[in-house]
Amino acid sequence: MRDHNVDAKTALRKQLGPDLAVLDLLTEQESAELQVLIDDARATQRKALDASISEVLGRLPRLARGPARKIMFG
Amino acid sequence: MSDLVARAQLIMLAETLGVPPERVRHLERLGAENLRSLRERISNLLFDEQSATFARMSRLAPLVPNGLVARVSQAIVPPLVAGRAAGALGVDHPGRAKGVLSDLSPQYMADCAPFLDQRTVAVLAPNIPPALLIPAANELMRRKAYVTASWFLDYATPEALLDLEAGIPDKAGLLHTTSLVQSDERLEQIVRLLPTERLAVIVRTAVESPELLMAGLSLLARLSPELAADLGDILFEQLDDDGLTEVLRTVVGQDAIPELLTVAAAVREDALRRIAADPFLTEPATLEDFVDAAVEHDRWEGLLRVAEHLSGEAGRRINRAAKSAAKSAGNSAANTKAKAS
Repeated sequence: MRDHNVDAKTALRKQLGPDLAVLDLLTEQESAELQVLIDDARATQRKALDASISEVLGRLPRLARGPARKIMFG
Repeated sequence: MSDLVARAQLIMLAETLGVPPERVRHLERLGAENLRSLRERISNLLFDEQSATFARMSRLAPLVPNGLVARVSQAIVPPLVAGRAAGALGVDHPGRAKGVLSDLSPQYMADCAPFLDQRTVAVLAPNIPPALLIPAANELMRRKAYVTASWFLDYATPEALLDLEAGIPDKAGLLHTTSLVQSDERLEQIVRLLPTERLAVIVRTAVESPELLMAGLSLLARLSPELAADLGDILFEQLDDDGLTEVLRTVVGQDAIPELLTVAAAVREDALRRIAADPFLTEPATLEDFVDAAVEHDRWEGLLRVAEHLSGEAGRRINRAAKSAAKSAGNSAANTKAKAS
């Protein structure tokens, strides 16, 4: 358990920056919980972004769709 | 009183993470500045990991006219995505930001506002005419989304601030919003910018409800003594005797004595005399609450100024407590004042 929590704090430092002093004030459990919330937020954002891009491309004028897909997906 | 600014930062952190504030409530103890730095780093992480996608979206811009951007966005793009992408696109195509914003509804702009990248708002804000933002700002006021509205004040130009103040009729909402501005220095700038008669209208709304009073006191307590004196006097002049008693009851009930004592350290003699003359203040239990707050938060200057206008046991009780605190803590302000009394 302890190792897991220490890992969460280390992971937070890696993601948010080693100079972020507030991380010193978090307990190990709070660090782990925050890590979960950040991971969830990242996943939600990725999904929402992907879904929106697909929908927006579908709404573009027909002539623009091909070049637009190429720009977005290569 | 819990720290309003810390609570605002907590709400912003929750919005950034997409969770209800209750999920992060336990972090309130970190304080406003720490919460802000934590939220900013998380926000930057969320934006930066999508920067390649935003850059590709930006290259689509020449293919899509403004009207279509606005129409399609409002129809199918959720505010989370639109808000996240808007900043990056706006920075890459600053000339189009005005055109797109003018085609968006105030409701949609208000929906997207919490998800904007504040780093890009700082770049874009000076180039957006306030007239385009005022309807969205009024929508935020209608929703009581003061936390979101407050961070726009961080980046608005002086001209835009004046226009926003003039364009927002909800002055109580403006008081709430202004009280949540993060930096004391920025708060001072904003307050100094507004003409006194317009500030007075905003400050006077503080007496309309306990919640507004807390916002007003929190704001005044963060200003320089000179400004706190000017606005504090305006606030106290607004109150009749019953109103003042009600304010003191609210201050005690809401744990806002430290803020009141900070303001008391700044206001002029008339206001101090009225506070001292209020019968609720000299009730033994109230007096003990004030002494306890002065001890705990080192707010002796304000309490001793009030005590100068108290006669009898109430005044003696405060001076004894101040001397005792000065002796045990070496509090120089209390020592000086108490010796002089």
